[in-house]
Amino acid sequence: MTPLLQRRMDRRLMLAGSGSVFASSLLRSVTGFAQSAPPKRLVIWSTPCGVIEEDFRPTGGERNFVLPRILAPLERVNPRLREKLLMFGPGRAQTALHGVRTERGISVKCNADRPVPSTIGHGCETLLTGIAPTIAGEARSAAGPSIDQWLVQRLNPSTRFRSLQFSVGVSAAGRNAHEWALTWGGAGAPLPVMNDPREAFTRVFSNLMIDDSARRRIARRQSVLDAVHRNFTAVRGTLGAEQRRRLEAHLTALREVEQRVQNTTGAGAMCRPPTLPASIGQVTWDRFDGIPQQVGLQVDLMVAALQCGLTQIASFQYGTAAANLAAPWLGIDEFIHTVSHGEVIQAGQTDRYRSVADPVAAREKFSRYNAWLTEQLARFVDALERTPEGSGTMLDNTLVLVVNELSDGNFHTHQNMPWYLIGNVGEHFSTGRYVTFADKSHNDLLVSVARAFGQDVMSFGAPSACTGPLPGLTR
Amino acid sequence: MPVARITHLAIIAALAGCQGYLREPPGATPTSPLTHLGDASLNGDATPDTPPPRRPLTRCASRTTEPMPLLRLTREQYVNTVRDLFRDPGLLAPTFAPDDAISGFHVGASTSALHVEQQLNAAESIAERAATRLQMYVSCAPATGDEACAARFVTDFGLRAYRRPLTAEERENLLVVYRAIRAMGEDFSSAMRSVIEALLASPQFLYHTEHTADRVVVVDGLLKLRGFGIASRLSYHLLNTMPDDAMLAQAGRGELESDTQIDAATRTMLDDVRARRGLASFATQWLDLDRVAQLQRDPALITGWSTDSGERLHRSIHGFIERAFFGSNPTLDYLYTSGDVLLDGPLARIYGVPGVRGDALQSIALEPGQRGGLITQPALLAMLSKSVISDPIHRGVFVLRKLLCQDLPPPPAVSQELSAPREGVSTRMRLEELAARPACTSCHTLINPIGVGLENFDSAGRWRSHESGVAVDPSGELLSIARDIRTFGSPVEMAQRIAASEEATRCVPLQLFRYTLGRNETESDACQVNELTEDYRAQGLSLRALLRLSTTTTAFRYVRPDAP
Repeated sequence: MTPLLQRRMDRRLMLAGSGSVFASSLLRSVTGFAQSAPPKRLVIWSTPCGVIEEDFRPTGGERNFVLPRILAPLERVNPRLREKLLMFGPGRAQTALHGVRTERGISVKCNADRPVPSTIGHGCETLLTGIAPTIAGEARSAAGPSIDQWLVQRLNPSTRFRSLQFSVGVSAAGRNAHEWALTWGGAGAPLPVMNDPREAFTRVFSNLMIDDSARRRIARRQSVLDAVHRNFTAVRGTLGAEQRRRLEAHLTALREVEQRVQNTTGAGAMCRPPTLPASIGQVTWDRFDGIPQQVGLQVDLMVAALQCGLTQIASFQYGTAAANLAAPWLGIDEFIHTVSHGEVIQAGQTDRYRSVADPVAAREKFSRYNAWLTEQLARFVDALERTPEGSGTMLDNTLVLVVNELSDGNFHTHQNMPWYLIGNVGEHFSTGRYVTFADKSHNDLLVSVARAFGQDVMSFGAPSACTGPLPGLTR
Repeated sequence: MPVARITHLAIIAALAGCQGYLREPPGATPTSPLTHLGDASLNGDATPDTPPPRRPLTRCASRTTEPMPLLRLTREQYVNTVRDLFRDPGLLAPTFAPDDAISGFHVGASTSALHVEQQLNAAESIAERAATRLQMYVSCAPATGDEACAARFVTDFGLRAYRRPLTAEERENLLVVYRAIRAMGEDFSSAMRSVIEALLASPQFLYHTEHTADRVVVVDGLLKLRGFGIASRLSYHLLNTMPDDAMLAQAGRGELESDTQIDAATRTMLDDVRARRGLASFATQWLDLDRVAQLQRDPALITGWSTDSGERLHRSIHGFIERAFFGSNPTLDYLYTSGDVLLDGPLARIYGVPGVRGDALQSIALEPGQRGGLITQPALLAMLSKSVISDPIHRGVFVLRKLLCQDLPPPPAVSQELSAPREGVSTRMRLEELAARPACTSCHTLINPIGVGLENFDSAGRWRSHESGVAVDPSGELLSIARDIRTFGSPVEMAQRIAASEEATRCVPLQLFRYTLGRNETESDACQVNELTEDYRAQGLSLRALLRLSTTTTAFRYVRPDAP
């Protein structure tokens, strides 16, 4: 066993003032010192229900592209963000019969031999795993790890948290995992998410201030963990192979927690945690009006966790199609899922279940909503962009993969997926570009991401859906 | 053209999905989802017009079951167990990430880092509280406690926590914690706090591993559970908590060895009031009743509705189900056709019954001919509604999935929502528009004729004779059951048809089997599920008997050894 209270003094990141996270004073007060080699970070940013293609896809050329309504907030929040973008889209081909034809861009293809799942659409289990799910009755389950967790397993980071899953409005209780789980530790192993900023705050930032009583608490917990380990050994011999496999999963998770206990002084000694606004104690998140504040806090906590070096792999998941979220603060009283299907609440009604088809009004609302989500993303990446690191900024060492489970929300299509990258891994990608493809699999994009993190692979997920990394993305 | 391609696939999926449930799909051999659970004659030779022949009551030729996965205590089991273990009603229930869902049943199948962390945090806070009430748990005065006292605690309390005696190695593991904390200069209570924390964080507490350490007998290559192993399995199945002291003592004395002894212990358990709580867990998960308590309706539309009406309806439906399993007529027939409705004062106001007062539930005779069993219970109908209108589609799906065990595929990709209600157009007509769409036909041919049969009930489950300004026509069909009983003219008649169907008879034992084992049935379970069904039929479809019988299957009493 590694010595207790092992010190890790190489992390030289300090958080000065510990004011209100909500007010973002925290974000401005961060001072980054140069580190010998900046870490490589991956963040998955996920929103549901697809987009309106015309309001999303850039127009213009590779370098002089124009960002339409949904993406415009990126440039508005910080004009420099444009240079950190790597956008994808469909090519256009001249055909003899039909004139100019729009091609397929990046599509989800690993489900091609499974007609049933590909028509259901809202499931999350193939997005980051790149492999067709296993199906048992109504439940579908990822057949392998998602790219972020695969990297966690490969890179084996010694950070306090191997990864963190932030979310807003993701309802998991009583649901099959495929309806909500974006990230998977492996086949059939969905990772739970943290919806409540208070829970996230406690989990991520408690124990960071080390005093004598905290040290005693750690020593005490270490004794308990040692006994638990011995008890695992005691029970292990009585189990069969499959049961032992499950026990190993528990043990791996336990070691992760243990490592965190031991690493407490690592980031902890140098990094002062943010504080939550005092008023937050009474907030209930079950009303739609609280969502903007909830998103703001989760984003701030994620930024602080990355800045403090507490993790290098994170995800933020905004709702699911089935979560039935509305956005009254944007004047959208409908459930977003309803709006994505071209319907709005009937005039003079207030019941969200009484919707009628009105594609024009619905499109406007749906894109208004998606633009708002991009604005939240912009806030997040802007905070990283404003944090100096090495010779550049934190965003230069943080790759943000933006995903959605659908492209066209009404028809549940999986072609021309509205995915893109923002940020970088050192100077791996050549950013500030809009790149088009005739017909590529989203697996290839996952391969490109894996390679950016030093993994020398030519396929990820289902090999049959892979042709290698997407061409022309790197320097 | 992406749109065309996907629509096309959706049709294939939908056709493939639902036609199997029709008793006689055009051009295909009739099949039922339960085919594999009966013998071939059940479906193959039987004409669709007569009910399938009953399988003669013979025992399965050989014992077989699937290997038991290592399961965590579910959230509910954890909470119930620590409450019983510490006998501390003031203990705050810890929060855990949700359990896995298998056919709607909660199962502790997967374990993530978050689960482990939550378990550690729960262990820490429970131990902290227990240390303040230590005199309740140790046999000495905490102020002068010594290692001998700690050792007695580990043996006695440990047996209850692990639901079996500890091995010498396991005892020593916990005593090492005691010594380590004392060596830090802490007092007895403080050391015991960490011992309790270690007990609660150990796999022996967190997982169902009782059977692994108990003496087992090998029969037909399977391990037969007895003693502490069977005590835990019975207790978690019927009471959803750890075995009580009497049961553990019985196991310790070697009085849970023979089938006769185990049967007797089962009967004792079913007489325990806690069996009602166990049943409530099963019913909640089977019928998805968690949603009832949260129901909200507009008081301007539903006279008498208030914010706690959902809670009251929740009590009402559980009261009804409890009667069906533990009342004077504990049968499937009662559950599915009884006219009983339990209402308290405030609920009676909503359902138009004068003269009922107070918070106690009373059995109320509503208008004769309006209510028949589970499917006409106000709570269930309200749950299967949208906020202001009924939801015939989900009502139909509920009957098919939950009561007839026919798992439908998810709806096709191209969303085809029912059109909005409009005056003069009945729900039946709006449903017909939907069923006419090609992607929807296959499944909605099955779903809609059930849903329309419940249109006499509004979004709160109140009776109505008209909706959207049109008289309700509640006639319909249950296309997936035998032809001679499939048509009905009223909701009560529908309930009777369901109750009379072979599918419903087979469905309750099957749901209970899934709940008991935390897994779906497999091919190799066919014989024992059939045997369970026939034993239950031989008991006049008594639900109380079914609860007992569900503990007699091979899968319940035996464990298949996993590969070493």
